Amino acid sequence: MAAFSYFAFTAAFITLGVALLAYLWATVGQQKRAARVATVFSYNSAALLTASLGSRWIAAGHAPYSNQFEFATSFAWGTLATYLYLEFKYRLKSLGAITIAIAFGLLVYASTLPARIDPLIAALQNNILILHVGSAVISYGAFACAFAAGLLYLLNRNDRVAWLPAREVLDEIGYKAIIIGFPAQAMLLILGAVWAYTAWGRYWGWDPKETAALVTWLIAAFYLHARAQRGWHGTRSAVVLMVLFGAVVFTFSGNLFLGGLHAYSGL
Amino acid sequence: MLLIGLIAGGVFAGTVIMQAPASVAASPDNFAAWLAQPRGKYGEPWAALFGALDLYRVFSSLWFRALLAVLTLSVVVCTVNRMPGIVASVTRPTVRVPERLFERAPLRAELSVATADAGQAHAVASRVLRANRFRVVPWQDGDAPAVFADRNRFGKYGTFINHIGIVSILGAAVMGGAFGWRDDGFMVPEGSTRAVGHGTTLSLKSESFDDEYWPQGMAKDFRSEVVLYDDGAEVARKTIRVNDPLDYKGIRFHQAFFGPAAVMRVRDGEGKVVHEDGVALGYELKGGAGADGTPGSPISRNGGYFTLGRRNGLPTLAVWVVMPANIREADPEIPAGSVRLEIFEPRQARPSAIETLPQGETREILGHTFEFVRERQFSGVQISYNPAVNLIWLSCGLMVLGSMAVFYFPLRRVWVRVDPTPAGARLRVAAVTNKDVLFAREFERLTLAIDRELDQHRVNKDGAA
Repeated sequence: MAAFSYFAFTAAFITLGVALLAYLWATVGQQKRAARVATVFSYNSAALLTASLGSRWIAAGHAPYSNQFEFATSFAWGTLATYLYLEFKYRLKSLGAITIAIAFGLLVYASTLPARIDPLIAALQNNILILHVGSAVISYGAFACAFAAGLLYLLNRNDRVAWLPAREVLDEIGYKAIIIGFPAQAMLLILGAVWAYTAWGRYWGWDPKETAALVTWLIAAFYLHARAQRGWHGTRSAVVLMVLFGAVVFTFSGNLFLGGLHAYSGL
Repeated sequence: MLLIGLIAGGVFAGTVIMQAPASVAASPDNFAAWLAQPRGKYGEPWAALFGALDLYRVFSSLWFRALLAVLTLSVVVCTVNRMPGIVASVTRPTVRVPERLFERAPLRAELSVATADAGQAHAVASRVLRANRFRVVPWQDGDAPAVFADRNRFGKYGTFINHIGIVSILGAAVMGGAFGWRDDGFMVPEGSTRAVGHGTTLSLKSESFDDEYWPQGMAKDFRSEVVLYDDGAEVARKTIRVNDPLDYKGIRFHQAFFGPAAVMRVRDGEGKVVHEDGVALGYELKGGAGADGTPGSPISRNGGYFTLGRRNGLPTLAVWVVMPANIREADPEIPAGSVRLEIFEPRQARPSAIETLPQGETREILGHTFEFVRERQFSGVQISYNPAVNLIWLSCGLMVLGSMAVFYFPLRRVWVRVDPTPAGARLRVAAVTNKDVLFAREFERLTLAIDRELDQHRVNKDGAA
């Protein structure tokens, strides 16, 4: 099972690499056929990654959230899944050049990490783990897509880049990604609170990773309020999306340098 | 909006800059001593600047609490301000619109109907909208029958539900802080019983403690068999684990940490046992000055104390029990299997006696006979009581459900107007939207559906004719 998981990981890794090249070619070269190839490869990669994580889950006897390799792979999966959902919904492929690059980057990062299957330490033996990290996978994936939309918006600020989608569409996709990510991030925080209450009898402890996740959520809240009440659209909104993704990266990599209650999950 | 930005900035500062532990931040002296740490880490002038801005205890600082209070207030004010407008727009929507809307709306469509009259076209449009889960309100503009239709109008209330949730989370946090309590350092040696305190009549006994490890050396399981007594009567019994606390009337006992304990037996001058109990060696002693003022040992040791007798409100003796922390690291002063006793008399800064005592042996010190009976472990338990915690969960639920209502059930509004023409009717559809691609697509679908239904009508009519 573990060997199959690793094999599927490698296959997903290669497939996603091909998908990335195809997305780049499709976007920059305006190739319809390349775009179709890109989509087919990313669906295949998503399926392989699902198989890899699923078989790892079975092999380890616990959800694949016990070390940084598993986190990186899961977050790559989350980014890929949210992107494919948005692509399916909006029939817009140029976002893929960035989101698939992020997912691919996460897999590259994962492949540099020890891929051993670790047993679950006592503190993590709680089924809330699945939902807690599952929410993170969804919200970070959604925020990565929002970042991609924001970045393309900034690249195409004057609607001069012919091969990029219209600005209005990018602006709206950014928003659509946020309304997936924002409640998921809230669930992440709440489930963390429920877990902390089970484990330590307090629902909030100002733990560094906890506060970093709260900052991420607050930035998303800022984006939503700026949009709904001050009519922020376009460039200003896109800049907020950049900052938001910065907070996601900070929170995600926080295990490595922040210390605190999430520090056990190291490499 | 500015407030959210400020709070995000504050929380960020609290994440990046090292924070003094709560126990340190609470005491001015300890906090002053702790400040040496950031000075070493950040150097001047940064350390002084962060200090001046009170960034080492962000989450207990006055400015952060003030920000949260202002946020709560502004959420309440905003919600109350917006409430009447939103309620009115839901309960009394703009049904009648001027004809020019159909010429200028961002989403609009026009169908000319040759074979049906205005009334029939109106009925068709209403039917299609209803089939798409719209609420349909018919109205009349002169001789033109018209329709106002909306969907998900109650989704608008989600914003109130969400903000009520947020405000009540903050309220519940304040309540929990005011009426709840917690004890992070409660230690019970195996076989011993300790009073819980905090105004309760509870006491907790640890029957046994076990720790298990994976072959890789990582912790697999920690568990304590505990028994809870209320006024001396057993009321609960459970094996508590890290993720599985004991809950008794809202007071929760969490397995949190563990360490060595020593069972000590003390007899007075007449040979009567005056003390027989475990002492949790919960203090880690390393470096620093020894209790007798000598430079501390570089060897890690664990220690704990108990007191004997009581005279004039003070214990007659305080007994520190110290043991090497690591059996693999030989301690030059305390052999393995022995404890060192440091015995203090009232108001003395230095111990009156220091003795090393192997297990099973007795020693006469200051009129008492001390015996180190055996080594055991203690259970470190976090005890918490938070009467507002269910309100927290309820509020969290409201917060999430409210935001989902707003996001996933967006309000949709469509107006239809049918003007009779000599040839039949002219049907116009309009919607006001903020550039929503998905709704634009749905609008197109709706218009097509109306057109198709009208076609059907045409065929039927032709067939009948």
